[in-house]
Amino acid sequence: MMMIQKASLRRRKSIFRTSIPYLYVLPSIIVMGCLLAYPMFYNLYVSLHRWQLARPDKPFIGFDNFKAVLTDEIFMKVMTTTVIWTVAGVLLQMLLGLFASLYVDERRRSKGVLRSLLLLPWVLPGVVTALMWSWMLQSDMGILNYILQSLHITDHPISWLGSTTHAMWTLVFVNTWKAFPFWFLMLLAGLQDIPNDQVEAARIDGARWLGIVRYVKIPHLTPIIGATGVITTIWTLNYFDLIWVTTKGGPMDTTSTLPIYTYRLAFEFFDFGKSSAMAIVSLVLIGIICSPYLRAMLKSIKE
Amino acid sequence: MKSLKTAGNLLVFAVIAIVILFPLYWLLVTSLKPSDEIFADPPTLFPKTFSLEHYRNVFRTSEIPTYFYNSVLITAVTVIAVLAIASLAAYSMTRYKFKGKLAYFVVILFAQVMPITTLIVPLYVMWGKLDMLNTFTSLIMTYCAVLLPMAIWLLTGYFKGIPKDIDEAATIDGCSSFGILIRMVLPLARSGLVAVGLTVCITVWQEIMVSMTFVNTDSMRTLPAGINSFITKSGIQWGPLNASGIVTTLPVLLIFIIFQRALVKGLTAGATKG
Repeated sequence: MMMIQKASLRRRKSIFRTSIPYLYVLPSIIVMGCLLAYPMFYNLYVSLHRWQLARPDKPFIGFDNFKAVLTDEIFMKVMTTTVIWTVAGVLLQMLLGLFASLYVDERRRSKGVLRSLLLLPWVLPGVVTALMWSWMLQSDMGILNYILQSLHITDHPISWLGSTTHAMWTLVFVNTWKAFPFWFLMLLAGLQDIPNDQVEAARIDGARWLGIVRYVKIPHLTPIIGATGVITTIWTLNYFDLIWVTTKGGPMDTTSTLPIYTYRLAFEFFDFGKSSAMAIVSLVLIGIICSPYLRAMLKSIKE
Repeated sequence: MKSLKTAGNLLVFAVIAIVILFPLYWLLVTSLKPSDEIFADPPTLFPKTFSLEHYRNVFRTSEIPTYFYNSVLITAVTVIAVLAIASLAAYSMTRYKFKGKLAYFVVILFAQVMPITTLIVPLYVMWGKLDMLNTFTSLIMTYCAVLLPMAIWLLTGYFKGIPKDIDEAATIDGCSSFGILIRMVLPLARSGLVAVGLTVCITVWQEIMVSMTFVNTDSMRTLPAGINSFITKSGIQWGPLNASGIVTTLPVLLIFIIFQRALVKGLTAGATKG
């Protein structure tokens, strides 16, 4: 009798022991399962139905939402805008971050001050960045137009955010102002990691500043540039706050990027079906962009 | 030659300082000008008279104090919840072998790149069905879910760096597995916890899309969504708006200044090894 009890107790104990690791991950699985995984499948479900807030019935319509979204005349416009916003934005952020990090890395006394200074835009809340710049970019009383006019660079006030030709590029520049510090930070960390004797050796061999940057520093930064490039591409592609607060995608949809358009489909036109289809298009797009990064990460996990 | 170089450096320094600081200066100065001076032509680069009227308006007659309180509450709860749940998961990932671990990690990895637009519609429908729109719970839980994958990923990296000998020594002393996590691992991973906590804090503090969608009662809004709703009203009041901007910025700026070192270290930890 005692023996059996003991054995069952031991078994119960060992069941408890093997379940310990699962107990630890359980809370995260519950939260992510209910609020990430389930919604993602629900999104797929919604995208296959005609799901509009104005209509009570939600019939299954197969891929009609996808067809409607992809053949919509605005779709190509949104894709083009998204590509310009993302590619130009990331390239500008990278270049500015590279120059800033190269400059700051060579400073001695002012390094700390410059680093804090350059990180400020990145810490500034997105909504505040947006309202601050839209205040400065006002066409009639904005400080930027005033400065440009008093320096005689232009003779009439420019409508930075209100014109279809300027709005997109204006926003790309504002976003570069806000987002380049992340590049700066990552590249600076990489530059500080370069052994000093490598730079010295190159200098003794007669390399000038540009040569050292080109043949010693840049090659050392390549892996960081790759990883940061993927991260900032996803962030820029998905970035919503700045455009939403300043232009809401206007004028005439010229600043409508994928997330803005997806959001408007749902909460301005109340067409949840089309919006969900659009969201899946974004998901696929991001999956494609990330695939080399994800593959590299998967390889490192398995090791 | 040397003085030329110094002058050049000074010039670059000045350009950097102006490009970064002028917008912030303009935000601050506008918030401190009396209403009629804000629209003065030509604009005054340095205010003729300082006035706190916009701050008084913001704190007395607007909903900003309520928004501020809501934001503090939501951010604090989210930070604590994310750190607690992610610590448990990361501890399990680095100390135990179990079936499904690889699958779990792969899911975490993919979840990090999932755009929030794929979640917003289904979550809106879900919270609506549960009758939980316009609650802090819906915001906090959504933020937790979105930020958990990143937090678990980063904390796993930190926990890996803590030697397992400590665990063994503690086990011999009669410490339970949970006790090891609380008494040994967490204190040793402090800088990692700070970096992750700060990232969550800064992200939640400025989040706008989720909060303006799930909450539409005026008294329940967060600070960024509250300010944003000022902008769309007919006729923008730039004075109070700039003052609200300063109010929104100060807490994160303060936190950034205090924890800068930890934040920078946390963000660049992976970069130099790559």
